[in-house]
Amino acid sequence: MVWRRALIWALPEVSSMSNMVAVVVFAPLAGAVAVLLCGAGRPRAARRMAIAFAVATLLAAVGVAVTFAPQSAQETTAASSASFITSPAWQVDGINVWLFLLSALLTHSAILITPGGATSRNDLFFALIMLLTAGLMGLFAAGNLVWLFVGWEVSRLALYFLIGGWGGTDRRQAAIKFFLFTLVGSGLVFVGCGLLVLSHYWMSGSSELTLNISRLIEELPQLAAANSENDRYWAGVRPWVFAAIGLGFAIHVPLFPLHTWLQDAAVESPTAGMLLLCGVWLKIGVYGWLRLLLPLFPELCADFAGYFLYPAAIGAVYGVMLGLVQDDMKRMAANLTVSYASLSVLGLFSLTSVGIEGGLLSLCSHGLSMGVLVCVTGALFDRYRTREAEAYSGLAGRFPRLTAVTFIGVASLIALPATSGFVATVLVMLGIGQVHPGFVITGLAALLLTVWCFARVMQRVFWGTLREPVINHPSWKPPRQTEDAPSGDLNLREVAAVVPLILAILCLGLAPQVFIGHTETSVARIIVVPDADEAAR
Amino acid sequence: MNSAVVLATFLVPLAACAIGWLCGGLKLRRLSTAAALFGGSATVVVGAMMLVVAAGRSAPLSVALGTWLFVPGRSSLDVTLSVVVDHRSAWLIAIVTIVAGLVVLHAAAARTTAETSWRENCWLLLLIAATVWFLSCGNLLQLLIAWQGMSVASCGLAGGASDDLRRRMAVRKTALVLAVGGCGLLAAACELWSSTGSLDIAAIVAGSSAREITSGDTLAAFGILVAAIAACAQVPLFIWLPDASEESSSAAATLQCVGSGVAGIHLLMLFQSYLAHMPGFLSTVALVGGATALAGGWIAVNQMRRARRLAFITIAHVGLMWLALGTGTVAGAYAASWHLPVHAAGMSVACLAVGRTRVEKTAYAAAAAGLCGVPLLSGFWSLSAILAVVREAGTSSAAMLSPTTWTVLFWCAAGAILLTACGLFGLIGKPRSWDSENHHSDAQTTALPTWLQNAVLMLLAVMVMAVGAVIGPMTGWLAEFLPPGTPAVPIAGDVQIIVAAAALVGGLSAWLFRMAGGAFLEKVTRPLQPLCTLGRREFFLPDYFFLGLALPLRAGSLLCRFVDWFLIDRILIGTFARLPLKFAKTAQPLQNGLIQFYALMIVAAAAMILAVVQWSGGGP
Repeated sequence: MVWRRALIWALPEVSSMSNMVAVVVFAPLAGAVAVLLCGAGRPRAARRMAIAFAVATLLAAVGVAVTFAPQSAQETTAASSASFITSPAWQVDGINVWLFLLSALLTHSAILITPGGATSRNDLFFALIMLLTAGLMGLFAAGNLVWLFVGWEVSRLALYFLIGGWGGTDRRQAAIKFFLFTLVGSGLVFVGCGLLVLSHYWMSGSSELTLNISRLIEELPQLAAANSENDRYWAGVRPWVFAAIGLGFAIHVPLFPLHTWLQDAAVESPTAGMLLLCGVWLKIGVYGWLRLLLPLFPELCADFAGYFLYPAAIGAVYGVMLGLVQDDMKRMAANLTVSYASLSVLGLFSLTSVGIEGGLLSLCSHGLSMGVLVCVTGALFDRYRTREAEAYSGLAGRFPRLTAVTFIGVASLIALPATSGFVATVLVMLGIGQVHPGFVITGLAALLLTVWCFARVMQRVFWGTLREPVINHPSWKPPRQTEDAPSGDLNLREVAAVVPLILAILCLGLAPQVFIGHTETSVARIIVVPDADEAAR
Repeated sequence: MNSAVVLATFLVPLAACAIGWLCGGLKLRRLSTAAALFGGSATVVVGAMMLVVAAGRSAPLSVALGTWLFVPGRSSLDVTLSVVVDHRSAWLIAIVTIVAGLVVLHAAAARTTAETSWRENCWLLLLIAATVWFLSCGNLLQLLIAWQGMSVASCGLAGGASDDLRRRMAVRKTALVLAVGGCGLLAAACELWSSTGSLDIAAIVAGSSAREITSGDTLAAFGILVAAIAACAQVPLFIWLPDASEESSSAAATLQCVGSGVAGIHLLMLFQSYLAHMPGFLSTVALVGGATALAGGWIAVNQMRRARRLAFITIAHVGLMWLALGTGTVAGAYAASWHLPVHAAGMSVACLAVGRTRVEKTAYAAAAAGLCGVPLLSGFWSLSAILAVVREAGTSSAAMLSPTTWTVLFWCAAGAILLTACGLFGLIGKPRSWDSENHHSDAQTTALPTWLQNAVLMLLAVMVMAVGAVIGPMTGWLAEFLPPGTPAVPIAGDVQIIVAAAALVGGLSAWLFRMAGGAFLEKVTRPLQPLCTLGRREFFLPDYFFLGLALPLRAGSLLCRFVDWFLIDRILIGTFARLPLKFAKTAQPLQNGLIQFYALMIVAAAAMILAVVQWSGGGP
């Protein structure tokens, strides 16, 4: 295409995929360092620098998505990769290219939605956001296990400090709970991956450890089939590895009943933190399953699909039921996140191409639309210092832009046409319908309850007679005393934060083939078992 | 040319809606109204052209718009957007576009000072576009998209962003009921795609006779039925239409006559042969239709508010069409198709002519006479056809219900005709103040009508009186237009007498009720008080709705919250979290700091790896 050629021509130095991915990963890291170095004591400078690096990361992520050829080889080896630890450095395929974009978009929104001067130590706050993004990018781009864990742990620590340092009144407890829960998850995955590497090492008789994910996926079954001794050994270890990786990532999804950490972490975290936590960080669980569990253990996934599908079906309804009785809009969003994550799991473990595509699109769609809702909740909190839906009424007349933006976000979450949520929900339902109609009915029940939930909240907050809450919060200062404190409808900064998300929602909803065209080859690689569809049934 | 006309039937209202929104949003209200006026008239024109185009073709007209979604794989999914119009859907599209176009003209021509009237015009146009899209869909996913569009537009018409609490409740009801229907449609799509590997409606219906019925097929049929019930506001999902119709007369006219009701009828016609293969489903259609017709008619008579009475009359008439479709015969579909334009035009006039001027009163009287079965007028022929089809079904050897059941249904239909006639005639000549005691101020109906509004009303009133007779007994045009093989329904003389008697007795009863006043009506309805409450605003709201739905949901939600907080978080997770404290007192210092705990976990992970390796035989 002409625009793709133009971009490659314009960026000759970074046109190789490896360099572009490196930019995507290291630009936020450089941003974190730059903000720390130059932004200390200068909140405006810190903010501007963070925005500049976030935009650079977004452009680089767009560049990767544009130049990525879905049919091409998916690994890009860094030129300097001599060590076994870094070889190959990055891996780009149709799955993670969308997660790059999602992370970059939400980082951009997270920085913009944070009002200047609203936090203490702005430089550290923005540096942690950039560090979190760098970790996420590294995790998604990782072609080997070391980079995957480094990225994961960096992002986890950054999120822990964001929650603990800039969160709500119970931030410390929430941060510790978040850390301990996710530590168990990452510990289990660490065990599983360690076993994978050791198993490859022993079965191959090689003198070096292989941390390359693609090689592990490709060679482990071959090595196990090479002789009876290997086969016996692998048959003994395989279920343990499967259980460790499956359970470890299940905590991050979060799958019912391992979801209780999310509520506290999401509610207590600052708006930017919640945006990145619910929007991207939670996607690590499903991404990990897609990257490791499904390609490595397709038969076990088919055999034990029920262990994922049943909790997901319960979680889909359970999350909305929890959301129905919440007046705190942030808590409601956190509960609904459990439901949407469960919907992605239903699509994924349908083990059909349609279901997996739906699950993937559902991940991105949820990230975008929940991002819009979190931004809106944050904007309301900045104005009135409350997130209680009961406190508001009739805001549509006063804040038309905010209302319109919220409607589009909600439209995507309740699967209205022309939004990404519609396509995602339909694909997941079609996929899971091939396994058992009961899952379809459960999913639709969850959808129906979500409509109920949002109809209630939207009507309460935006329609009716105008009623604004009385501000009675220790952190509130009159607008004149607070730099950039918003008062009217969404201002330019907030509009700039949400408009890219809305455009992405509409683009994916109107032209879903853009998404499917990029992911189909990668999804086809995952479903390599000949009878996967039948096994799933 | 043909393709352009087909596409124009939904693109014209859609474009007018978009322009209207844009102008309204930019505070150019006059331009927005002009767009609605132009959109309404253009919609009428393209609707008429649609009929001409369809009449000149023998095969269905199909326009492919391109692949929207393609997922490769063992069960590949291919969604190609296409518009497929056969004679039957062309007929329905013509009804929707002509009647609804006139309603839009009527709404846009109003002398109104309301700031939000442009918004209502846009919702009307969006509903037309979505309904036409629904009627011309070639596959199930498109059907779902159109359904969601109809739902959004219906919610907008039901009250949109109104400040009034009652209107907000109406919107919520509409959204929920139509969401239930949408979920039914999606469930049907999933099951049909699983069992046939296709979303193409024609292929699914054509292959249904050769396929063995599975539980998935039954679920799909159930989903289709639920969607049709929700769209047509039949029992038990009728609760949304009366509330939604109270917003304004234009909204009521569109929602009742050309909105989701036509879509629901189309859905049943589309899948009639598919449902015929599922045991018991067409019988359910007939039973639901018969029960709704009688109940709707009865409730309508007892309504003291014009908008609600008309809504229940609509529900009853749609029930009659369901009854005809439930016979499962071609003649049944023909009778329903015959009554549909009569009902659409008749109820539009009934909703729009609120009795402000003599023209409106005359138009209303003409529409009531034309619709409710006064001999030789439109409704007389179409209602007679429905009764004839129902009676014929009872004598048919292929009937799924017993002859006694069909006889009961026949008399239910006759009773519904009587009751709706009573309800319609009861409103003749009523001044606007009749139901103003709890009527909110409708800005559109407080000002006097313009000449264009009067012209539209008179045109519609003439249509109501004449269309049924012209396309039926006078020319036999409908039987020729609808797909080949459609037989004209033979209407026996006694059926015509029953319809005429029902209409006349209905009219007489209405006159008696008026003479006797409200006390008489109260005496008559007292024995059936529980049934009468079905029509009140409170039904399903504080009582059934709260006790049956809202309360269990809230209780369930609170239970989930308790489970979350107490069982999972405190007991389950709490116990695991306390384990290190209980069993590793010696490692207490390590647990004091998070970083130390982190290190401990890494050591534990390494130990676990070694343990598993050891357990598995220590390597090959």
